[in-house]
Amino acid sequence: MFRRRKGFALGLVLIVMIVLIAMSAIIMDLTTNYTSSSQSVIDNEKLMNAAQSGVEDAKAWLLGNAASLDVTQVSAGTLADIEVKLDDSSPYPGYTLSGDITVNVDIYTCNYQSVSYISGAPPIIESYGLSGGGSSSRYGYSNYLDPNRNNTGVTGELGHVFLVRSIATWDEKDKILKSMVVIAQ
Amino acid sequence: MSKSFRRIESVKLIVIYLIFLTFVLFFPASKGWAKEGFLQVTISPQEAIDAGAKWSIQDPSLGPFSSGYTLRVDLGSDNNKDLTIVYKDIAGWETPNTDVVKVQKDKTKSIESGVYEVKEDDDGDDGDDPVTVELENWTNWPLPSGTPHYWEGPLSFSYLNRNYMAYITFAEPDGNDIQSDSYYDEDYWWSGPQWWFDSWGTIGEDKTIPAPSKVWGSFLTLVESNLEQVSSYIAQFPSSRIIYVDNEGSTSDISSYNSDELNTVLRKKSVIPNLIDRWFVQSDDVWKNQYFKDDSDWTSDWRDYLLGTSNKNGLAMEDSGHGTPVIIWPDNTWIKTMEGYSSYESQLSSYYNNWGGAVLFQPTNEGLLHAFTTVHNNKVEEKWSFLSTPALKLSIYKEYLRKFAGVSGLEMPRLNILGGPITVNDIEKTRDTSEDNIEWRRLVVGTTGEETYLKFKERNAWGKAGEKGVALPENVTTSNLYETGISSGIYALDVTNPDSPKEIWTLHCANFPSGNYYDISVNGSEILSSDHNFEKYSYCGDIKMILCRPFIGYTNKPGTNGQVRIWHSVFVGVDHDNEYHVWDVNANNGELLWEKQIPGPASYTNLDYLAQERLLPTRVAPSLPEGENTPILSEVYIHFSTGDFYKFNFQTDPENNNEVKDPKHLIRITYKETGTPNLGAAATHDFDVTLIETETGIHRFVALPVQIEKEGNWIGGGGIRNALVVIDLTKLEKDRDLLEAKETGSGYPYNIDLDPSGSGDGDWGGGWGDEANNVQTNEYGSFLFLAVEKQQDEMDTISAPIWYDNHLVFASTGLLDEGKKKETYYSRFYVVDPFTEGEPMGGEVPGEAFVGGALIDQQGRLLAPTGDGGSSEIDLTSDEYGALSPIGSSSGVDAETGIIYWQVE
Repeated sequence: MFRRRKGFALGLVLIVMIVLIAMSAIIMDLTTNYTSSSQSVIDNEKLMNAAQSGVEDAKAWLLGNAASLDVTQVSAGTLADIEVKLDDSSPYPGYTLSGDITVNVDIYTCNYQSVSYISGAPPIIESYGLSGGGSSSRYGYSNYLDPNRNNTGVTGELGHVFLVRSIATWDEKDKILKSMVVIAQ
Repeated sequence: MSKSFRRIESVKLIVIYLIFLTFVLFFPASKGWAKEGFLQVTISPQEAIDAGAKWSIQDPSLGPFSSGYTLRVDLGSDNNKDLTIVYKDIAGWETPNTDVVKVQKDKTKSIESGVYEVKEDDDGDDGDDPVTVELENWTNWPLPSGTPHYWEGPLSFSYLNRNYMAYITFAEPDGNDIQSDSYYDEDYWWSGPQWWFDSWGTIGEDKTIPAPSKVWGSFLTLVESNLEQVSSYIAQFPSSRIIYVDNEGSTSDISSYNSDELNTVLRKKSVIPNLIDRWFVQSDDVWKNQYFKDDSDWTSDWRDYLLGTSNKNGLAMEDSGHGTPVIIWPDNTWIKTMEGYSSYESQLSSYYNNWGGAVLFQPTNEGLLHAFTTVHNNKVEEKWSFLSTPALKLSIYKEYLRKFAGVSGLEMPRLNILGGPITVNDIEKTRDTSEDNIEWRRLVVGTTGEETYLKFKERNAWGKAGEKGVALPENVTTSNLYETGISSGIYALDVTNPDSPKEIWTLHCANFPSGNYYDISVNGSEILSSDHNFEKYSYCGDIKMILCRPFIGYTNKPGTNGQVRIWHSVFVGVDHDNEYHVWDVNANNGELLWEKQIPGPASYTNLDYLAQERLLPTRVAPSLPEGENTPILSEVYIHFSTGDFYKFNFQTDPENNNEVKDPKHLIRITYKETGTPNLGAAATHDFDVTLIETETGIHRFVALPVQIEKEGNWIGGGGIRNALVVIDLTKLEKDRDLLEAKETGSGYPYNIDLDPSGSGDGDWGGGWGDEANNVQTNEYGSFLFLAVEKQQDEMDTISAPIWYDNHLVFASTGLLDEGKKKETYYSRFYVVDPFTEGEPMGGEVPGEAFVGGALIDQQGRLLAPTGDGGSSEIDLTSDEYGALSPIGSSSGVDAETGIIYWQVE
């Protein structure tokens, strides 16, 4: 015959509670991780922006001093040897960002000859032909191959190549951004 | 025995008897039985034998024989015979007397009377000075040039996108300064070289040399264009001038040489050996040729002439012949994208700081290549000049001619020594593998220009220094052979550092019908005819004249490890067959890569074409091929002075030095179908090439400034006039390639006949019959007769047409007919849209004569100097002249900076 059994409901409640607790734990964990990741992204973006601002500052400095950049080829044994200089030997003054983030910016010339291995040195590029700057001057202008028919539009302007390295640092985190830029002479 | 057998035996006996009888009767009279004797002649002393002493027999003439030789003498039927012995004349020795001896049958007659004695000198000393035959001591004399063969307005080079231009003007022998007198004078034609050739007469006749033509002088003018103004500078000369020569591989300044040093250089460099039996000297001194010996007046007079600042008809330089002034800047846009360029340009820029930012080179006919500053310290001044080896070969003979020709005072005869055009360009030093380091260098390459005729040394030149007319020693005669030679040469200087020029290779050849005499030097080492690599330089012996500007570029070829570039220096000239010839040589060392004679229509076989080459030399345009931006020679055009237009692709056979085996004879342009000869339309200036974006794609166009003949005669308004012909080469080749394929041989050349009454391919001549001053289009291009107005006042091109923003721009000058023989100069800039019919745009400058060419500066101004020392200009960017866009200015694309890559770590 059928007989009622006591205590079954309690067990069921316990099981449900265990499940709910487990789910809560999982949700909490997920939520915590999410919050943590979001913070990391925010931090990364801050560093990225800071580093990029350093690159832009360096580009602005290069453009502003394009006419007086020392573009002669240097013989280099260390990274310091290839740091950019002006004709009067003055260096890039550096970049300062207000706030907690520290940004260190270096500019290196790519027109060098290495006397020994230099860790972190940019590739060697003497010069770089820039496109544009004319209406495709091979068309409709003299194509006579002589140095005195100075059809500069054929090859475009000649640029010199620099590597900008910007390192943004905050709270034991950093972001390194490198950009190789060409500056017309 | 049978009866028949006996009969046979009888016949045999009879035959044998007859043979015997014949032998007995006739053999004694035959040679075999002739009587003979022997003659042996001994010559002494041994020195005379060494000098070439010989003996011989007269009547019958036998010999010559060496000392000690035993001659068998045929006495015939006699038992003896008298013979006359004669001895050979040798320089420096008294010849033994003729001797008559009797030679007897079967005996040997020994004669020892052949005793030579040393001949006494003219000065009556003990005769220790032998007359010896030395190979290196004969000199050839260059014949003076009667007159130069070009217009009074010599060649000019038209500059594009630069701030300087230069031009040269001449001072005539009569003292007229053409610059201020009549620079432009189209009726001034000169006679050919034959005049001088004839007037010298035959060698050996002791003719007095007629007074040679006197030198011309020249001015060099530099025009500077900057934002503020246009300024002209007459080139100046320092009081202490420098003349460099190559002395065994190093550059030396002969202005500081003492007499011995100067003579050493001249002895080594200025003697052209010739046939050995025509050489002699009359001194045992070191300086076998007496005028290089001990009279320093000869050489110092010559040097003073070179160094003088006012003795070339009152000026510091002789005329330039066909040599155009050439300016060179540190930058070279055509190699900008090539490895190593940046540091090379920086290096050049530092060198050029003390030269005004650019260097001006000018060859002139006293033999000097002059190097001038551009505007530096507010003046243009010569820094040095270089007497290259081919010029040094002949230069001293000007002094000989002056002393012997009786030209008075300081006047010099004129020689074509260095009248060839030059080119200045950059090349890489030869690399064997693609991994070898790249090293750039800058070269000046030039030629001696027109040929210089050579003849043997004049008889009356053998006197002592200053003693004009002293005859040769008695027993020495100049050869009766009348043989003239031709001198020509090429030189290449390394001027990477303009303060330290260096001769890197030179070739000279004295070409005679009986043989060629070479002087070849590469990096200071002489290349002898016995050397294994001599064959690569012997092409110099084929060169008669080169009046076309050389050009330089590269091709690719397989190296030992990957592709390497080979740099070419290409010369287009005339060979000794009187045919056009292309010589392609390695720009680094002068070795021949390949050569090609261009026979057939593109050749001249008469003096008309010869004169045409001298007046309007062949022109070339190495052209930038589509898709390229470096000077690869895959599209080179040559406009021969016969009117034949060729296309060469040097990048077709890398395994064989890229030899052009099959150049394309695209076009033949003539301007006179009737008459003799049918002259080709030669270029009056450099032609220009461009690429044009058309509706059917990118097309190659060429613009040719040519001479044509207008109806009438020289006096009656006809004569040679100027025109501009523009041709769409891409369309022409597309159509003609098909025709060539369909009808073998009929596609090329495309015949452009510019005679209004003539017949050719297409309607070219009919279009200008009314001499309209309008662009007249054609199936393959367009035509423009240059005149101020229709049928009136023709214009001559003063500068080369240059493609500029789809237009052609150039300067021209003419004489305005005002009736009653009153004529004034009239100049005009042309801005021509060759694709639109109608009158071209132009800036007119009445009353002025443009001189010396034109410049398109960096601001888009077209300017031309004028005969009064000023200049005129138009602004090509203005609406009046089509609002043309200066190079590199119009697209609005930011070319200031660029990003190659980003990297985030």
